[in-house]
Amino acid sequence: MIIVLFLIGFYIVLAKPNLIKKMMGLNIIETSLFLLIVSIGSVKGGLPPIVASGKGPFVDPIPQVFVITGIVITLGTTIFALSLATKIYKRYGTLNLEKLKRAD
Amino acid sequence: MYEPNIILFSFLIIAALAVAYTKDLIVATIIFSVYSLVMAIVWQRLSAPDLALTEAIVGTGVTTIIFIVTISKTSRREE
Amino acid sequence: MRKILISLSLLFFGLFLFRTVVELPERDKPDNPSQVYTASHYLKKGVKETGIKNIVTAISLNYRAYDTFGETILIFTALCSVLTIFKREKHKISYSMIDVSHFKSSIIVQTVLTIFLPFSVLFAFYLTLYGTNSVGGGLQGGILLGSSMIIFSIIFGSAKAMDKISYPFWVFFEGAAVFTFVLVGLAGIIFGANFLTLIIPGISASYQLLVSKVMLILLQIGFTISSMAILISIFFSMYREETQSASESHS
Repeated sequence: MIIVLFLIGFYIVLAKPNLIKKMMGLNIIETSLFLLIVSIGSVKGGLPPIVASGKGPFVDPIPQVFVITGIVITLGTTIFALSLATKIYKRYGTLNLEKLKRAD
Repeated sequence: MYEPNIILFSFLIIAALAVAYTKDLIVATIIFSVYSLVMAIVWQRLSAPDLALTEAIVGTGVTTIIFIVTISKTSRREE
Repeated sequence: MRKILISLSLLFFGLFLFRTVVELPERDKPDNPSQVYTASHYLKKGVKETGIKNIVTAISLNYRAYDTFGETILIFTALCSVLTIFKREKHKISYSMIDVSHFKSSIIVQTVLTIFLPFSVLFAFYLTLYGTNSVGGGLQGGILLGSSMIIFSIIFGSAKAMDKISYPFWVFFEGAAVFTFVLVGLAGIIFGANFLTLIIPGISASYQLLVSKVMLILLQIGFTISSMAILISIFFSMYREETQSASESHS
């Protein structure tokens, strides 16, 4: 199921010529990968990894630390890419990749 | 089959397909923020409350605002 | 032609991913190799060694504090990259009035937001200070604070309060996370241990947990202030760049 999400995001990046759509596809790819990482360490019926919430099997806390950092990385990449897209529109007047290849 | 995980996953897949096939960029942004919200619910079902909070705040707060600011500066309604 | 290439590459990728994902250890079983070896150490001895009840925050601020340090540098680099692309007005943070004459936001939105936004700011402060006992941490609180201030200045149209803060203070706020991390790390060196230890070896054992908790709260407050300032600066740089270039081309 996570593979299906990854492939849909990958298809958006490859096949849609608008730059903003490609950013959305990249975001979908990255969130699907975070799902994969967290679901490796999960335990059926496990409690969240806060020690005061009871006894019993806890969910693995290590992937969650990296996914928090990963969400911030996704945010930074999206912000930078969208500010570049704004400048490209101001210079060339279009955001379509086909037309950008033929201009200049 | 009433298991909630399957319903949530199928919603995610349908939302990703809808982002791929609309031609209006503002509709794609709103569907994308709903995608982030359902992803936050999925994190909670996997027993990760920190991740649910962070994804809800980042996905629906900051990412949507940045996309809308960019769309308002560039072409609004085309593919 | 292009569609055939795209569908072939998607199928190829899909087959590779399927073969890899099938071989990963099965989820939902308590005897995963990752569970048995590392996670059990963190879960059993985490509270005793660090004194933090939220194990995720304990890992990210105590066992793996370098990764969180790198994350603060990452957010700061995002701000620097946006500032190299867009200019900022000299020695002012924002333009005084955001132009709301295009749209008049409806009464419903304004009423709902006047009730909702104070709660969201309060919740952001709660997340910062309670990062060690329950979910949250400095990062989430900072982003929530920044985004609620951005929403306030979009809907209600005035960003005048931003100009009252003088510019050097604002630049200090933006770098606050990196500053506090470096200072807390150097405090470890001054007292004779490694770079980012939160335990000072000279003080008696009954005060060590208190000292480490004070340092953690300082780290989280620094993270919050910095995230808020960086988000607001990014938003204002992206939003009002048009008017400045238009006025420059006129004059």
